[in-house]
Amino acid sequence: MSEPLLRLDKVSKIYERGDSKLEVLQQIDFDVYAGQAVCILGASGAGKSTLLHILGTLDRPTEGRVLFNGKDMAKEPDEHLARFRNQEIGFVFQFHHLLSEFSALENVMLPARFAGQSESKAREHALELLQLLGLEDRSDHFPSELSGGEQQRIAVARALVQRPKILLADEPTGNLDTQNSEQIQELFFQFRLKFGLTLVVVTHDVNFASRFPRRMVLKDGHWN
Amino acid sequence: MKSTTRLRIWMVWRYLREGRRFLNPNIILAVTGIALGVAALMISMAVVSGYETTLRDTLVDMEGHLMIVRRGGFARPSQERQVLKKIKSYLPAYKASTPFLMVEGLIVHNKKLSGILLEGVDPKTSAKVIAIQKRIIRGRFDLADEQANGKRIPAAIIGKGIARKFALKIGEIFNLVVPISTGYGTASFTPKVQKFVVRGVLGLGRSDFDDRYIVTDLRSAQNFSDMPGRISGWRIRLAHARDAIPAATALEDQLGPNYWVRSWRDPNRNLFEAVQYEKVVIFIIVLLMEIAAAFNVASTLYLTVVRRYSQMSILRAMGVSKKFVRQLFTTQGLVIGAAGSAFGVLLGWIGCRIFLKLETVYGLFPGKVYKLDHVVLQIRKTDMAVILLVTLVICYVATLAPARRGAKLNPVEGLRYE
Ligand SMILES: Nc1ncnc2c1ncn2[C@@H]1O[C@H](COP(=O)(O)OP(=O)(O)OP(=O)(O)O)[C@@H](O)[C@H]1O
Ligand SMILES: [Mg+2]
Repeated sequence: MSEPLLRLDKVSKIYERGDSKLEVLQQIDFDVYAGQAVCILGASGAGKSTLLHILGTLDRPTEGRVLFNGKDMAKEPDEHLARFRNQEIGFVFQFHHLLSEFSALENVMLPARFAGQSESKAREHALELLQLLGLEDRSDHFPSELSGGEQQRIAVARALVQRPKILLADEPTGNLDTQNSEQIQELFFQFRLKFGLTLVVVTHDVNFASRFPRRMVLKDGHWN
Repeated sequence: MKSTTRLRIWMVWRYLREGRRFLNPNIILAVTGIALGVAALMISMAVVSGYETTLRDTLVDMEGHLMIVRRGGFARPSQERQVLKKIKSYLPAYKASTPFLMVEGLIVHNKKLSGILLEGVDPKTSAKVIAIQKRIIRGRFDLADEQANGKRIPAAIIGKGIARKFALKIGEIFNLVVPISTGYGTASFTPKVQKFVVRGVLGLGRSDFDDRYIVTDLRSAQNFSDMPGRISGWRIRLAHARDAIPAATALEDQLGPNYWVRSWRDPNRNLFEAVQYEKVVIFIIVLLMEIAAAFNVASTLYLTVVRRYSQMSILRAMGVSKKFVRQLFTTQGLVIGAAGSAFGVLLGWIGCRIFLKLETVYGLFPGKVYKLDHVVLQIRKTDMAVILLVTLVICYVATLAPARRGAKLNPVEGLRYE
């Protein structure tokens, strides 16, 4: 088999406070191949978000290596990591979704703008995605004027606007009703089919989890 | 402008406005603080610069840029022409010259008397060197003799202090007395009296001039003081007033001990130096106010950092580098500084108007202390450049700590809680 796109090599995350030591992740190995769809399950506090942040280079492991295409990301300078996140990774977070000072469309445009894309190009791409999500009539709204579900869908659009290789989503359907949840699930797998998007998704939703060919469960800092 | 810079400024603009809303009160307070500092600096610098300029203009208008006098006695024009030639060749900034005769005397009128300086000026050449006509507040600059009952009465332009003290009006006649030397000794004098007619009144804005100065035609002064053809020296105009200071020293070396060269600045050298010092001191003191305002900017930015904790995390996740985050805050500080400067300049300009109004209505300016009875305000380009530059530098420095803080945030910290 070819090299994994993203690999965790004996990754530990340890929080020390005084004498107490909290080992959230212990010597975790994790390989994600291009185009795979992986679902991560686990109890609250199991370290799912932590794992996702480490995968996306937002957080650094206490020990171990994070490899992207075989390259050790821990050794890369901040500027490179920033570009990596911009180009290759799409994030959907558990709680925080949109930048409140920017309209829905602008939120979706921003990653493209950071990449140096012209305003018109970025707008074009962003509108395309909003249309796909059926949100084009919300594009001028500000986050405070959108429902939770709408905000979440905008956040998904924003994560996908740069056509990343990997989507890291932390409970993307957590606050949504069945219909909205379905729509997002559809979108994820549609992107996987069309563009070979790699999915790493944390979810509590059994229904959603059942759609993934590969499911991993985190427990006490290890894979269960 | 680089596209990332434009993007950053656009983002900052959104942050300052908090999206679609109007400016938030925090930012307004920070901007106001800077604006007040800029306005205060601007007004105080305008007052000091204006004072300096008013003082200089008064001196230059009356005395020219340079004055050259022969020591120990009045000179004949034939001798002096040689000197003038020399001067022209030494001074590249030379523009024009005019001869003058200065005589000390007394004005006697209505049973009152007072010491005066009578200056005889050459009406043909004086306008190129000095600007008496500009300083006339009543009457006109015309030194032609008056014909009355077949007698010629020389015309005089008198300082407004003299006009007030002796209640002299245009067209009225008064007497001047000068001592005439009767021998070679210096001790024997006889007084000579001459009638003059008031043609105009001078307002120089300086009591030591306005109370003592009387200007007349050079020839009238020569005749009156029994020194036909003699002059005290020359007044000289250069390209710029500032040329006079080095020129005076250089010229004195060239002309030797027989000549005394004085620039407009020399008699008030201490005053001008004091003004310079005062300017620096006032600048620094008022600057403290601005620095206090800059702390306000810094705390506003700190608040922004704290409030946008999760926002910064999301930005980092979207692929924004630490450097960009730092610059985002720095730009925010600079935009506040720039907005503060803009409002400050407007406020300062209004403040200057108000100052001038108060000055004319209430006599705000302590003329006795500062030798002038009013000052104009002067907003100098160099003063403004320094004020604005210093303001932006201070605002920039104020942003450094919060910007560092914002960039150093651990991106996951801001993502953890709802
Ligand atoms: N900075 C920190 N200091 C100490 N402990 C931390 C820190 N960050 C996270 N933790 C702990 O690490 C553990 C894992 O947190 P994480 O957010 O990854 O859990 P999770 O699996 O995503 O849970 P949930 O399903 O509730 O989102 C938790 O027990 C949390 O309290
Ligand atoms: Mg979590």
